[in-house]
Amino acid sequence: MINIKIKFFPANFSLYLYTLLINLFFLIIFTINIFWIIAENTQVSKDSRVLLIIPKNFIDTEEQRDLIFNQLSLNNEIISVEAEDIKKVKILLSDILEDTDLNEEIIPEVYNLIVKSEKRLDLDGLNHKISQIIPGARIFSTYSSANLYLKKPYILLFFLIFVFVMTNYFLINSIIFNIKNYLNLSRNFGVNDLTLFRNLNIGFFFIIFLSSLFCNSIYFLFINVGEDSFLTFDKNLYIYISYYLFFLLNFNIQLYSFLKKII
Amino acid sequence: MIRLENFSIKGYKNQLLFEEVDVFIPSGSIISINGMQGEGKTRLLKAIGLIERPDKGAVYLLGKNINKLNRIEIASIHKEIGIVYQENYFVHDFNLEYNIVFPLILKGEKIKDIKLALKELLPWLNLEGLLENNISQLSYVELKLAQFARAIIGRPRILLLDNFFSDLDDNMQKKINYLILALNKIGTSIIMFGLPPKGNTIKFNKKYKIESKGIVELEREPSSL
Repeated sequence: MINIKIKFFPANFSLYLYTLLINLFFLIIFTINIFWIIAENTQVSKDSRVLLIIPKNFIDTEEQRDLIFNQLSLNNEIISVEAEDIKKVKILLSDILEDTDLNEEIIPEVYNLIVKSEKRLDLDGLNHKISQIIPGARIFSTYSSANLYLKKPYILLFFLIFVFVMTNYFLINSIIFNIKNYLNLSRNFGVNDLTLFRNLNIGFFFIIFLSSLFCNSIYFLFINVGEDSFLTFDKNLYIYISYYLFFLLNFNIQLYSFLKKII
Repeated sequence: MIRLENFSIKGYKNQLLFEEVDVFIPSGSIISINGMQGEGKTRLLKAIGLIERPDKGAVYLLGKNINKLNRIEIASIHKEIGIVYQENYFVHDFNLEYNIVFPLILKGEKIKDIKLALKELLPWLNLEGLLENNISQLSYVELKLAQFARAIIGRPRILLLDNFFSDLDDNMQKKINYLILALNKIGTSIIMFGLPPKGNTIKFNKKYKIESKGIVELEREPSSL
């Protein structure tokens, strides 16, 4: 016990409690925010489509079409290609052409591309290649990254990061102020800086780990209500690890600048 | 050994306290350095204790020029120094026991050995019943003695005492004198800043006085070693 208190938790107990509660609060908010972003992205992916249009005004389209598909199969981002029903295409075009009756012979072929991520798909490069095979053939995406509803969780995330950095800055500052005698005396009695850094980091890692454990327990107890919920530990883990690193970086920078002031 | 070479240091109000002082203190000496209030005794202690750097000149401790050492080397010299500060300097969230032993625990000493050292030392200082007490529950003199315990429990090679004896009663001064002599016998150099203890138990190797921004030797006493 004497070892643990002296080595890892030299500050006042209340400061560790504040650290635990404040970080628990932030972790809950962050996790909700991140999952909001994931949910919005998933929603956008469902609504958006990547379409390939091949015009009909070309002789020997069949062979050229195969060449285009071969080209598309080389792209790792494209999972599969599904032909759109010609009637569906006609319905889509009817809004533009109003009462004009279109002959099916001149309606372009439309294919729905199933892709991993629209963002990573190089549309310009692909269009350049396929337009060389069939002039006028083109891939376009209905995906829009600038939707206002998608910006909201990101704005909230940046705001949260700002509040998190500021709150933790002042919290860590008060912790270091609280242990300044401990740090000064440790140095004056020959304790190595590395030992101080290592011990204090272990202590704070434990506190933040406790916060993440409580955060996860809260999800499982109160929020996670079904199999569809994506609030699972393996997904939260990335958030927690980033959070630990962020907090400990903040702590170490402040500790380093404090120790640098002493001889 | 401790050596000050062209040592100059300024006070907190930027006034010059010591100007190009040269002093040599051999290993195993018992030294007294006295001076008027505000003449720089504490600044000198902090410079020798590696808490502050001199403004000019060099401090040699255990044969090494402090100015040329890196952080890790300075830490290894710090290990050999025990300091009793003029003001009571403690970690307020630790009880008395933790305050005395925490430098040893951080330095990786065995708990068993630390407990044994405490058991031997504390009765000398009348602190054995106060180990669980919080720092705020202790008197000024008890805190002074606790500082002394913290400074000597690691058996330092250099012991620096800042105005230590002024508030101690005669009986306690005698006990401290015995402890100081015991430390000196195992090779510890002891430098007392401020008034020396009462009685003639301790034979000082040298006595100095701070005067005119310098350190002047007062008298010579035959070595008790």
